[in-house]
This record gives sequence, structure tokens and C-alpha cells, in this order.
Amino acid sequence: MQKNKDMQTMAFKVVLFCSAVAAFAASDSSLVSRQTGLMEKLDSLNVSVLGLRVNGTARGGMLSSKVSSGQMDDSATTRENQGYIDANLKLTAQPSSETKVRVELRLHKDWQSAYDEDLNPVIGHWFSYDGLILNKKLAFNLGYMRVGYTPLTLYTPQTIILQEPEIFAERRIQALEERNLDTTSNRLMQGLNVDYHQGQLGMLDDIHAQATGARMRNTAKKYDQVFFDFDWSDRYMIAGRLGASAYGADLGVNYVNVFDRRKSTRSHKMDKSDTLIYDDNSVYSIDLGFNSDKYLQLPVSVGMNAEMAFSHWNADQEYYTTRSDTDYYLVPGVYPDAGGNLDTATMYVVQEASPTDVLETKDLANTDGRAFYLQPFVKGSISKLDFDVTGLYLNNNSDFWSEQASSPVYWGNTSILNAGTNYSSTDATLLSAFRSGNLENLYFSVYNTNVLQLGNLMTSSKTSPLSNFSSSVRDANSESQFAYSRLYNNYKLGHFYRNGYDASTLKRYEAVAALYLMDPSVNMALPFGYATPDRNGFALNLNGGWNDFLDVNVRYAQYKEDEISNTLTQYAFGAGVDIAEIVGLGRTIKVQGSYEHNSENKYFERKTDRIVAGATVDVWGPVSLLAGYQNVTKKFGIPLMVSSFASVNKIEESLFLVGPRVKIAPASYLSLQYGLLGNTVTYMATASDGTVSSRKLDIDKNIIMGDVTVVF
Amino acid sequence: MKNFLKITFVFPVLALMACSSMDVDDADADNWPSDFKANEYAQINPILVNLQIIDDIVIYNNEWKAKLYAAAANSTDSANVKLAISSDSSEFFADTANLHTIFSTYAGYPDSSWTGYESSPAVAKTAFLYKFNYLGKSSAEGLTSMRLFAADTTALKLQYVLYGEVEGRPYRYCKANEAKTLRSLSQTASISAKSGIPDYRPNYYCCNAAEGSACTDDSQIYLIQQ
Repeated sequence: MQKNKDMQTMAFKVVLFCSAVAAFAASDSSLVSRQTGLMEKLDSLNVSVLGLRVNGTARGGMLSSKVSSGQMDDSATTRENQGYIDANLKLTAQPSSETKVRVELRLHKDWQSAYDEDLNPVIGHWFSYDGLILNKKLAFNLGYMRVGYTPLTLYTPQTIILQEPEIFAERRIQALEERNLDTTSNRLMQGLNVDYHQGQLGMLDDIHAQATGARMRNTAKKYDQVFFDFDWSDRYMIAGRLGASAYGADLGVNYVNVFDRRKSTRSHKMDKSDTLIYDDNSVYSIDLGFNSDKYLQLPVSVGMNAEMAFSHWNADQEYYTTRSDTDYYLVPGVYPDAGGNLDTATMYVVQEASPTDVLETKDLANTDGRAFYLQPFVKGSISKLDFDVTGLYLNNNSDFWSEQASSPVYWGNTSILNAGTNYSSTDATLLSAFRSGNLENLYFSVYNTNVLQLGNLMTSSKTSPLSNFSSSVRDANSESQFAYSRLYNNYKLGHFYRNGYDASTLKRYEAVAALYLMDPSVNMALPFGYATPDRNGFALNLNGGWNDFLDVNVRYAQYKEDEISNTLTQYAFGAGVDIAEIVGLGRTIKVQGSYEHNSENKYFERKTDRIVAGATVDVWGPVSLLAGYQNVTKKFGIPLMVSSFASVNKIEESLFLVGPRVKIAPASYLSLQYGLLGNTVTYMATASDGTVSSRKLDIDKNIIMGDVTVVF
Repeated sequence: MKNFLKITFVFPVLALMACSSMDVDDADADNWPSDFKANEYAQINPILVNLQIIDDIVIYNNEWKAKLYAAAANSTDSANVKLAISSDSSEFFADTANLHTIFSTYAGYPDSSWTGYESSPAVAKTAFLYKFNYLGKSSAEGLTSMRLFAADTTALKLQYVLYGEVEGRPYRYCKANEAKTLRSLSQTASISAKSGIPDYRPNYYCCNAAEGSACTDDSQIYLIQQ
């Protein structure tokens, strides 16, 4: 233990020396790395197999959630059932060892809609052509791809839950997977990515060049809170980087540009009341990395990563305005002549204004920003002690904006379980604007196939197709006056998600708006990751492991938000113990837990706390028992106004999840889980007569889940 | 040397720019006599302003009616609007003192014919006078509006070049000793074959009347000696 103490002092010295420290560590997602490791092994086995290969997972299961609350509407449905078989097929066509085509198909059968459906459509959710060619120097991806450059250019800020028990981590990965997402910091996009590595060249270890082009969704209208939401504008990203490495150091330059393509909106009719914002964002950065590992083969290695980025952001507004052109005409005026008789001999000039609607473009905003971070680290393994200490110094000015590095994939604010439950009218005004369930959004997702009816089929039409089709004169906005007779169409079934994750990126104006309702219990200090504008501060990350059975984490971070003199503080600690390892049993009996606190002293004076506890126990042979508990509290010092009728003071959530997992055959698992989800929102309600009262909305959900998963 | 060459390249461009006039008003001003003033032109020729007033009242009255009809919820309300309009016109014609002012000042009838009109109103005259009725305003208020009416001087200026100059309309008051040659058809350069209108250009005419008063008679119009 003496040694351990020494290491701590040393770590402390390093911290002082660097005056900074770390934020997020990849080691938190140990399950992810294990999964990736396993997949890599499988891939290496498969890599030499040419031709067509089919892999995938099939899962059959059920989910039943019963909601209870004293504040539900009398007619509210309290139980929601899902019974499904879901098969995810991964087809890989590999004509040679160098390139492959990957297509992933999802087949989903919902037993609830089994009698109503005509055809059960298969949806393809991944199409890509990937390869490693030119003597393994050039890697490329075409179609769906996951690409990441640097934390300030092209990146996805991740959700980190310290010491997340396996029972939770599994569920989160599953929810992400349904959206094609994973737990890496690569960004999901569609386009072309080309990555060239020269390898050893003279004194350089590697020279590398990468270029990426992708079509983005225009997120303003396509962030699919509703299923059919059309928007005609195109958004594109082009990016590139160059890098070289030598003597354990890397140097790179990176460039990302995202822009709206104007012509795509102009090709469609624009309403006179429409306003379009065209956004153009480019970021240049230089990154520098160093690791002593390269030429000092010591048990302890030191190094650092640094990046300096410059951003340019421009927004143009396009809107209709009425310009009045004045025309003058010479006309005869009716007027009495000298004799008092009316005549038209007098010619005079009249003015006539002719209003015309003109499309105007206004330069709304132009800003240039700068961001910088320096991340020194020490890593080592001495005797039975493993440790890594990472520092972070971050300084981003308020005008920095890097869209492709900013948008997280966790958005929350969605209703997942028992979405169809109606609450009493007062609470409904809160729920129509705000959903608080962090734990529900992080760990649950519903994927189902619904039968489409005129009632749930949404359209681009502004007026409801339900009220409009009967009009004798066909309304230009209505879907069809023959809507009823067209109901027997071939595509009655649609795939739907209820999921808190989304791969969309937000434009700056949208992000500013989204920030207001963003879940403060996740990444409150840096909601947009390292690229969060207006942050100046430091962080410290400390991970230690002893003899494979003890695992300790400490986090501390403090950032200033200068524009509003806000100070954001984060601290967290966690520990995990593998009891079986101590006793010397050849299995896993892991108990873990963590506590995280986030707070700010201005803005909404938010304070959040998260307590995590969990156990993963290999009970006997193929049977494991998984359990987890989380408690999240979010307090708003200044109530968060979510509508003119409701301001939120406090949210308390808890989730208890427990159940056995049984390996019934090789690569086949049976899992049964029981969950208790609690959510209490304390808010101030303003009645229509202006009286303000404090209210509490209490929702409990009892969840029973069971499934059989087969990996093939 | 390189820089010098770059600069010399600019010289011809600068020279061209220096010689060209950027002032578009210069060319525009040539269309009017140098001492043309729209306000003076309006004083001399009130008929041109009165015609503008008539147009203005039409717009005002249409808006007034549209507002009332828009607020009308049912047919009874609409009927009430019609009633209001007819009572407004009765009031207009009942106020004979102000009607007299309108008759001679704005409607441009000879003042001498007022007595005749008052005793037996001619339909044509009544209809024309009614054009000077502001709906919803009393005759006195209407007269104030007319007095304060801001004439569209751009339209007046355009009228002069488009027509006033051609028909020999006086544009300013005559100076001392200027009223020598009366306007006469013999001064016309041509008579337009198409319209039959005599073209007095390039002659200009002045009005021999007291400052501020109108040119009511041809005997007041004199040729301006160039």
C-alpha cells in the first residue's frame, strides 16, 4: 500500500505540473471494448472467407410496462405490452479480401399488430461498400459510415456513466444500436470516406491523408419527433485532414465545412410566411500528440494531446418581403371647364403602387471563434497497480462553433414507455412540453411496427387530412379527397421507434434552442463536448486498478462560462470490486457504484446528482444475475419555464433493474428482467386565472421484460 | 517595379471614372425649366391638386366602408352601414356654407353659379360635389383635410413634362414687366397629328396673377421671353 500512496503523490505532482486534467475516459465502457474485442476476433476469422456471409442477431421477447400515478386521466391506459420477434441480418458480400458490401436488414414482427397487417416490410438500415486497397494503404467507405477526426472538428460527444453496471450498459447499447449508433466518438453519416496511410517513409513513421464527404440531414425539421416530417433542403459536409507522425509525436491539420445547399429549397414552393436560415460552418484545426511510449519502454509513459481550432459561422436568412413599385400614369381628369360643364380636357398624373413579393436574403450573423485544449496524461502499470491520470485544460471562446463535433447522440426529452397514457389536464400542460425521464431515455427503447391509419399517418399538409378531405372543393393542402377509398394501400405497416438517441446534428440556432431543454444530468458542464462554446477551465481524470479486482475512478472539472459569469463544477467518484477475484473463484462477482455531482452558480442554478450501484454475479454455470440501481436528482434554482403554464423546480428519478441471464446454448441467451422506474417532477403550475400553485407529478412504472437472444 | 506596374494599370480606369458623371439628377433636371418649382406650379394650377384630392378621398372612403363592412357580423349590421353612408351624404349637402366653399374652391365651379345651383341643384354638379365628401367626417373636417392635403409633387412634376409643357400651361408667376405677350396658338410649333393637341414647346409660360392665387383665365397667361 505504501507504493500506492507514492503513486498518488506522484499523480498529484503531475497534476500540478500540468495545471489541468481529464474529462472522459474510454475505459468506462469496458463492456464496449469487450464486445468490440470479440467482434474483432470473429471478423479476423471471417476475413478470409470470400463470397456471401450472413450474420446477425435474433431476439424474441416481451415487454410489459404498467404505469401508476395518482394524476392520470380516468380514461388513461395504464399497461403497455410489446411482444415481438426481431431479427437483424447482416449480409456481407466479399468478392475479394480487399472489399466488401455490407447490408443490414431488420425484420420485426409485433404480435400486437399481427392480425391487422397486410405485409410485413423488411427495412434495410445499413448499406455500405468498404475496402482496404492499394496494398492496404487506402481504406474507404461508401454509404453508411462512422467517421471521427478530432474532438474539435468531427466527433460525437459521448454519454459517460461512471461504473455503469452491465445490466444498464447492455440496454443502452441496444437502444443506440436501434439507431445505428455505437458508444464510440465516431459520427454516423452517409457519404464517401477515403483514408490513406503511407506508412514508414524516411524518418517519418507515417504520413496520412483523409477526405470525407457526406450528405447531412437538415435537422430542423427532420429530427423525427414525428414520423413523416418533410423538408426539402439539403445539407452537405466536406472534410479533410493531413497528418504525419514521427518519434512518438503526431501532427495533423483538419478541416470541416458544413453548409446548406440553397438551390434545394428554391426548387420547391416557398410560402410567403416562410423564413429559411442557411447556415455555413467551417472549422480549421491543428492537432498535436505525443506519447513517450514510442522510444522509452518504461512501465510509466507520459504524453499529451493538444488541439487548436478556428471556426467561422455564417447564417443567412431568406424570406419574402413586399416591395412596392410606384408607377405614374397620365390620365384625363373629370373637372368643370370655365363654363361649369364637366369635361376631361385636364390631363393629370396619378400614382399607382404595385406591390410585388420579393425573395430577400439577409446576412443574419457572421462569427469567428477559437477553441483550444491541452490534455497531458500519465499512464502506467507498476507491479499490480494500473493507473492513468489525464488532465485537461480547455479554453473555448463564446463564438466558437463546430457543428460536427458538437451534437451529442443522447437527446432525451422523449416519452418511451406508456407513451399513450393520458394525464390530468394540468399535468398534461407540463408533459406536452417537457419529458424528464433521463433514466427512461438512457436505458429503454421501444421498436415496433404499427399499422398506419388515416389518423396516425402524418402528412406535410398544414391542415389535418381528417378534417379536410370531405370538403366538396378539394383543398390544395389536403392529401387527397379520395383519402378513404385509398386506405387499402399496400404499405399499411410502418416501423417506429421510441428512442432517446438520434444521429442528427443541430445547426447553431437549433442547438441554442435545444440547449434550453437539454437534460442537465448528462454532460452538464460540456453539453457539446470539447467543442462547447464559451468554456474556460480544467478537468482531472484519475483511474486506478489494483490486481484486476479493484477499480477506482475520480473525476473533477471546473469550467467558467464567461458570458454569464457562470461556473460549472463537476465531481465524481466510482469504485468497482470483483469479489470472486479476491477469493480466487474463476468467475465474476462484480459490485460497483459511483456518485456524480454537477452544478452551476448562474443560469438556472442547476444541480444534478447521480448515484449508481450495480452487481454482476456469475451464480452458477450458465446462470448470471444482473442488478442495477440509479438515482438521479435534478434541481433548478431558478425554475425552468417549459411552457407559460409550467415551470419545473425539481426532478427525482430512480430505476431499479434486476434479473437473471442464462446461457441456454452457445451464443444464445435468455434474459428476464424486472424494473421499477420512478419519476417525480415538482413544478409550479399557473392556472388560467393566474394563480400559481406548486404541484408534484408522480409517475411509477413497473416493467417486466424477457427475451431470448441468439447471435449467429 | 512589380508594384509600380500594378498601379499604372489602374490609371486609365481612374481617368475614365473621373470623366464620367455619377450624378443621375443632372440629366433629370434638364427636363424642367431651371426655375421650376412644384409648389408654385400647384398654386398656379390648383385643378391638378384638386384632381389628386378626389382620388385621395376615393381611397379614404373605400377603406372606411371596408372597415365597417368587415366588422359587420350579419345582414342587419350591413344594412346599418348603408344607412350610415346615406345619412352622411345628407349631412354633407345640408351644410351649405361649407358646401359653397367646396363648390367654388375645390370643385372649381365659377362662384357666380353658386346661387343658381343652390336654388335648383343640377344632378351633374351634385354628383361631382359629392366626390369631395369624406365619409365619417363633417364638412368642416373634410375641408380641413383638403386644406392640409399634401400634393404628390412627383406626380405634378411629371405632369408638367408629360403634358403641361406641351399644352403651354404656366409654371410660375410672371415677374415685373414680363407680362407682354399673351399665349396664343400662333406660338405653337406644331399640332400633333395624332391627338390634335397644339404643342407649345419649346416656349414656356407664366401666370400674371398675385403670388399664391390661381390662374383662372387665359388672359393671365403670358409667354416667357427667352
